[in-house]
Amino acid sequence: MAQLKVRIQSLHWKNIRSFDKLDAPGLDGEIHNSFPTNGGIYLQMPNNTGKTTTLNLLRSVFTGKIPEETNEWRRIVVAENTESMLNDSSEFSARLLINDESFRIKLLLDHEGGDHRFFTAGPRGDQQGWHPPPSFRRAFEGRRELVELFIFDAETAREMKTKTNRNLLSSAIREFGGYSQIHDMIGEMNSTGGFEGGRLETIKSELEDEIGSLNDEGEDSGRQQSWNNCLNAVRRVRSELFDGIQARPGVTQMQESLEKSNSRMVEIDTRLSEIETDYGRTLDNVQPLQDTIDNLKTKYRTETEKLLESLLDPINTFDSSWHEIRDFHCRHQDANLPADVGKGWLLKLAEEDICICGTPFDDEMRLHIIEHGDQHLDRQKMVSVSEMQSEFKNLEHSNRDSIITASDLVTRTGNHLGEKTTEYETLFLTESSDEIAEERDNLNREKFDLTIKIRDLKHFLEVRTTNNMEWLRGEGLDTGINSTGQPTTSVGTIQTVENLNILERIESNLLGLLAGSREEGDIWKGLLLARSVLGMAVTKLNDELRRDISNEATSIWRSMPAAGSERNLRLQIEDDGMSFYRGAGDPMKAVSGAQSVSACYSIALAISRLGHISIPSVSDTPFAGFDQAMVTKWYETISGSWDQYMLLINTAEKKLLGNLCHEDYCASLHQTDMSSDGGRKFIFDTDFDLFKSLLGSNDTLGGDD
Amino acid sequence: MSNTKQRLVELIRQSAAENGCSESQLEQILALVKATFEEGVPDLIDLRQRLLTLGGTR
Repeated sequence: MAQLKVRIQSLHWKNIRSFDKLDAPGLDGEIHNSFPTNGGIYLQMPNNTGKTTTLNLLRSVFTGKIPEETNEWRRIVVAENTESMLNDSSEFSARLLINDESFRIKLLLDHEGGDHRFFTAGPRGDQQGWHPPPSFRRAFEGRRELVELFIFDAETAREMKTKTNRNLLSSAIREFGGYSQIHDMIGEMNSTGGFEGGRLETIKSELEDEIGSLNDEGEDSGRQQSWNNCLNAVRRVRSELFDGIQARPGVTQMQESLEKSNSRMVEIDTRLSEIETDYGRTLDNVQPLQDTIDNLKTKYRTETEKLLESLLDPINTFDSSWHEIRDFHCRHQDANLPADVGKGWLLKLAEEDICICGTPFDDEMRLHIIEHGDQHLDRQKMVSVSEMQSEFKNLEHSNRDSIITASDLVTRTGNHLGEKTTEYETLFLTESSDEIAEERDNLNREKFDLTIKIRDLKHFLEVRTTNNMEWLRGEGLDTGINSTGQPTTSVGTIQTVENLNILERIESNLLGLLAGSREEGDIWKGLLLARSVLGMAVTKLNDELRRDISNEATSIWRSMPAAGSERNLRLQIEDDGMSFYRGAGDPMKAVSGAQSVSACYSIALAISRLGHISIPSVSDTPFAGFDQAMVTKWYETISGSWDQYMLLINTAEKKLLGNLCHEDYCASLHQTDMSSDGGRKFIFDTDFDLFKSLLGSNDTLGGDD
Repeated sequence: MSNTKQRLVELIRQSAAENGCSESQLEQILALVKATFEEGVPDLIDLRQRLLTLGGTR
């Protein structure tokens, strides 16, 4: 049974763009009619009537977030052939059936005073503000990116590549997986992989206050004061590492810069892909050449990996008798001394007054060395070493044929790839216009610079935030952790720490020392243990479910027309967004608009299935880039997958649907006249003949307003 | 959903072993999780008491 079941019952506009007052479905006097709670709802809205506006308003109703920019939603009127916007308040409301209880959530936009508000009418009466039931609130409050997966248009579908990342999925997974309360207790994972926030954070703050208040009473020892100084240093350094200091950017700035760079990279890739599609692929013979280049790239990578394997195999780089060398060293790991030199040394040692360990020798000890020394000597050792040295005096080169072969293959494939790439570039430059060639050059240059910038930013962020201590040690960046693995308790060292995770360990250790010295130690130990155990468990669960959702979404995506037409496509939700793959190769630079739209459906469906939730899908102009055959396949998939789905379509998309939707709920929002305020007057009509015949002069298979 | 919660309990057992928890500590953590699922996150006084016992258990 669904834990959260939501249905859209009706939509209501007042003084919003083209609509003076409109109810969908229409009212019977004062009685509301409702959309069907199952199946498709096709709302035909010609371009420039407010499809995108409706979508944005509906997102606000779901997230409880008042949009920053509301001016564009004012009522449009025409006076003397000039359009203007009224300052009258606008209202939008949606009646939602949430777990079988009806709620009306209204957004009132006060354009003059800027006092925008929500109102909620539900089974327990009317309230100011946004007050849906807790299960709905926990799922959607403030989560625009999540809502955009269910309520989307072509534009948000394109952007979801970067928006649908690990964080978005994590919050959706925990909510719909039913274990968000654990996060309410332990908090959220921070950038260093630890957890902060939640009720445990309140207890941590209380403990810190208690420690602080003891300190104020002057009961601290010198050591406790020193630990307190260290704690203050930790907080100062953490603030610097997060927020930056002077010319040294902090994690926040680096993340912002990385996000901007990634977005720009997506734009560049999209534009380069458009150029390839619009110009490159129109050239004669370019497709076979492009295929050859793609194959050579794969071969080049495979051959390079083989060369690396050959180089790393000692049998290829050392003498052919490498096994003998290995066995020799294994045999001599017994810690015995060679008898020839060791015997004399032991006898001489037994004559001394004091042992090398500092203990004075007595006769019994001397006797023991003389009688048992042989047990620690090896008569064959010098002979073996000598034999080994003679054996390898004239070292023969190993047979390096496999390395040479692998290296030749890499060189040849690289040269071949270079030739074909040059051939392609020459063909492209000869056949395309100067402007396009220059734009492409500039984009490639910018991409090269951006690639380096992104790599550097990722490296710096890794240094600041990783919890991989092995790597930090290898890079010499583990300042703050001493050679025995213990966190420092020195202010001077803390000031040079570069990694936030190390800083956290230092802080945790200091708090533990302070708490332990003041009887709060057990609470502190319990807190750390609970957070560590539960944090590790929910992190693993999140990762497992993220993989499950990626697989499930891939399977749904492949069943859809846009992605199903290409073989071996798969999508994967990764740390920095969603990636699309063809087979086992590198991530694809971009996918088509139709593929993005179907990916939105797929992810949203996969999330719904995880939580056994039932939420409507709402999409605006969803058939951009579709043809007739794709729409038929789309209909089969969507009508069988969603309990309730709503489409805001223009008249061109309606034509593409043909008779597919004739058993679904179809209605038109169309202009009948001009309203008394000088704006357009729209009515809502469920007449199917009108639905079939309505034409919009500006309607195409693309977006609009 | 119930599968997800069952899997969470399995992972908590694994994680407790990796953190060197005793059987008694594991039982206390599982009791905390059960209480959280059934009644919401314990209030501060209750939670402090649970952590005190957990931290004091060997």
